[in-house]
Amino acid sequence: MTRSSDRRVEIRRDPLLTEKLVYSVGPQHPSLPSPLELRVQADGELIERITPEVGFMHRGVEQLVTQRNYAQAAGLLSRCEWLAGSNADWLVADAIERIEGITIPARAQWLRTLVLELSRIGNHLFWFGNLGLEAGAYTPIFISLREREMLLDLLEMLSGHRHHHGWIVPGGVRTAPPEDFSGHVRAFCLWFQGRLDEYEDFFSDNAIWINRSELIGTLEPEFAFEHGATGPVLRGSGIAHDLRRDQPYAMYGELDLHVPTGEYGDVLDRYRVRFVEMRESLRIIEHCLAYIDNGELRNAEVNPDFAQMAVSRGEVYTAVESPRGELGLTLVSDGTNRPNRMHLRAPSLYHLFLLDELCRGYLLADLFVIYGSLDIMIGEVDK
Amino acid sequence: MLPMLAILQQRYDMDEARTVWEAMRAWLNTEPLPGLRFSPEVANGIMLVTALLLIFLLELMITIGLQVWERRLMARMQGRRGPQEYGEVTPQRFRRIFMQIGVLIGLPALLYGINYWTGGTAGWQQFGGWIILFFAVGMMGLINRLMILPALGRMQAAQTSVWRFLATLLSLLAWPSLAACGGMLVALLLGFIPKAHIPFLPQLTVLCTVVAFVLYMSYMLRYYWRQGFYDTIKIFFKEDTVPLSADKLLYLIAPILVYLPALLSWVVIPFGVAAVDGQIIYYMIQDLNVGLLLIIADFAMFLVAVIMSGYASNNKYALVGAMREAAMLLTYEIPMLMSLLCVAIFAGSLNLTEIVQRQTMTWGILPLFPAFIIYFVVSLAETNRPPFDLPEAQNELLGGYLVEYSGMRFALFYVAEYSNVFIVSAIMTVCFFGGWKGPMFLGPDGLWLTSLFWFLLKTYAVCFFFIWARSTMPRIRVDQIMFFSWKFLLPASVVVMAATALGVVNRHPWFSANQIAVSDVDVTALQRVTQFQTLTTAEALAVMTVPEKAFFWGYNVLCLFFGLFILMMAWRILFVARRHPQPRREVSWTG
Repeated sequence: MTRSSDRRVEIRRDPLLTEKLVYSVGPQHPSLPSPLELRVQADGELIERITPEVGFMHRGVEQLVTQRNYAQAAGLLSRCEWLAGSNADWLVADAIERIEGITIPARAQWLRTLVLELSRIGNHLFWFGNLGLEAGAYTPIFISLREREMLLDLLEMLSGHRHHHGWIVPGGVRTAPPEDFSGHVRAFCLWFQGRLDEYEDFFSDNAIWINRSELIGTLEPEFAFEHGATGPVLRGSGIAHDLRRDQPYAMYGELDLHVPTGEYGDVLDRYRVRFVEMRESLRIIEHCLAYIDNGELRNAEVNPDFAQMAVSRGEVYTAVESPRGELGLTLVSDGTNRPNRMHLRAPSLYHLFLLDELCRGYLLADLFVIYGSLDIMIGEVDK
Repeated sequence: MLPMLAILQQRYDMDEARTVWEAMRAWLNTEPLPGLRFSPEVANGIMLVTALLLIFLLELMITIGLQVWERRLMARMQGRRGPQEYGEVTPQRFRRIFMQIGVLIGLPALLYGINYWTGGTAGWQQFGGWIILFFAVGMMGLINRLMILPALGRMQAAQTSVWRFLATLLSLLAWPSLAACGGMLVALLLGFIPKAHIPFLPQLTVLCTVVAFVLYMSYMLRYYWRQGFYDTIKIFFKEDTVPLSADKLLYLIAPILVYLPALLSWVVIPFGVAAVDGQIIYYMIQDLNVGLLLIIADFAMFLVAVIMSGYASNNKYALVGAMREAAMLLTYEIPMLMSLLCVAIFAGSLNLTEIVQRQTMTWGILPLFPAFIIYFVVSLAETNRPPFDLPEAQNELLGGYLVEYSGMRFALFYVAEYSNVFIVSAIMTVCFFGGWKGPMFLGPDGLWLTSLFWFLLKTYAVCFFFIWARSTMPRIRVDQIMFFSWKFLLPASVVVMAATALGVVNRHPWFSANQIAVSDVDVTALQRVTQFQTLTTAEALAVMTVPEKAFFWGYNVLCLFFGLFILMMAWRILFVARRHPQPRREVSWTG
């Protein structure tokens, strides 16, 4: 099967000059979990153009953080991407550490790696359930959310919070993991392996799902690269780009990472890439567990009160491989305990504006599957 | 061929009143109350109104039941707590088990009472094998329910594996099977006390049974079924909105037109059969010779009404939904017709009762297996059930043609949909699973009950597969549905129909294994074997042996105990309102 044989329909000029339908999908629509409007111009059910209208959830986070201290800024930023909030915590901590030149103890690094990977699995689980709903299957959301509950219990055990952990702070991590934490995580990993196999049996190999996703929404690698796609979307198109491997942070440099890539850049490839990523994350977590029991939690030289921490003048860009792609943070600090300027580079923003290209020539029913395969988080887009 | 026709002729001549409808007509014509006579027109009117009311009530009940059952079953399959199950917490378990044991004792007594009052008798010949079967199924179900499912517990994910599915199915069957087993056993044991008619025993047992049953139902109403009835009541009183830009007339009559064919199809479905004075009465409104044709025509009407609603709503989503429905129904009607034609060719009739009678020896599914598969797939599409629910796709088209409707008009679409599910399952039962046929374990006088039992059992078993498909499959895309029907189902159904026709014409043994049998008539011809004597309690006790006395007292005391217990529970359930807090979520997966 070659790329040219995808299922896109050529859009021709209509000799009858019939009127085009413009569907207004959203901002309230069961398929869009966050407020977003898609103006879909279609010929019957054949999509010709999609215009995303964003801004329904704009909170002005980038302005708000300049009026708050760094601890509060980290909390606000993690509310831009609430399904894997630890990524934003890590970004703020890492930016400060780079400016101040703080070193982090090895145990804290391993713990950070562990939390980031747990967050990744949690995010992908939510994505899986949501994608099932987009495709019209009612069961995946229930089974995946049940697994995610257990994962959130783990994170709650660690940090005291289910979603916005605030556990990664400059110089290390906030608290020590509870007793027998690694045992709990190990039990979860063991158990979750079996659940992943069950998902594969249940959904990945379903003939209807394969038909719905194969060669649908194909994304050319060049196009994806030029338009700033990152993460699983870019990897689904065949470009093995992963910040964890290419620009290692935390303890990823110590790990032997396998970067899964797709072949055709269709919905199925993106789906499979995320599934392999979940297995990879499990492997990484099991690797981390050997190192998290002994050592220092936090660099003793750092001010233990995050809220009072003043950061010296400087500017830095740091990026993390979030579950959706490259989540970057530009921090301009001016020597006080408030950031002068913060900018979040949100992968979802770039992916959302790929939607027009991806959906053109497909049917209305494909729009939702394609949208689900991009895993767009409106909190990141609107900020 | 001629002898068969002769048998048919003979049998049909014997029946004067063939349906409930005609029995009612006869009754109305014979001065039902002293001095009350109806002209034929008035009698017809009364019958029509009564029949419509009956169908409406029946349909509403079955629809609500089906929907509630579906929610509960889907919750079980998805390994979550269903909307009806929030009250089912640990402190309740003890009470629930006692309630179920009460039914376990009570239901057999009911069976015994019915058997007794209808004059039936019981013997090992009729009961033995069934008791063993039911007991085995019940015990397997209990083991699954009480030991294996909790052991799998929260550790297991959704019940998608075959083992999980079987365990669930068996656990659902546990209590009914044990109840049936116990009922038969008790009836059998009491049948073995032929020396005396024990006064008050049947009355007592039946009283206990009725109390137990009503209370168990009230328990179910409290925790499982109540939501369905609340939803129905709520939706009756919701505001009926009409969009300003709608085509008002069409918009308002479309739900009625959707509902009408669903109502009409009930007329020809044979639910069961009864023997009254050596005559057969079918439980159906009208035994039409073109019953199958009527049902196919009803589905065609459904299409018109749906397009009407989609157009009249003046909404893009509704229009697209209606167009999808039109395309899909037109596409799938031809394979449906073809697969039902196979049945008609095989049975030699479009009359549903004759189709059932034709399957006395073998169910139609054996010779007509390919036609059954085609019909099953097509019926999923005809009733808009997942994975073919794209006309009303919730997360693409926001409900499609339903999007502008509210209140009872909206509900009518759903009543029609669930009623269609039941009708389609009933058609499958009639055409492929032998309708009401089955072992008539209650004897000739209990024919009405056993036939209803088998018919409903088979129909709900088919409904189960509809629900299973819903919880398992993603939605198919609109063009793939067309391809599937035109390129696969249509040619396949043509081939299957041709093969069936050739087989029947050439008298292939595969298709001629069925004989027109008269088992229903034979059953009615069975005579009562044992006559009970009428004795007083004292006389009866005087002639009883010791084990019989022990059984007599033990059973009575047991019934009384459970009766009292159930009465107490009834008081608490019905009048002492108590909220049960949500159980604390337990982290059991850490092992």
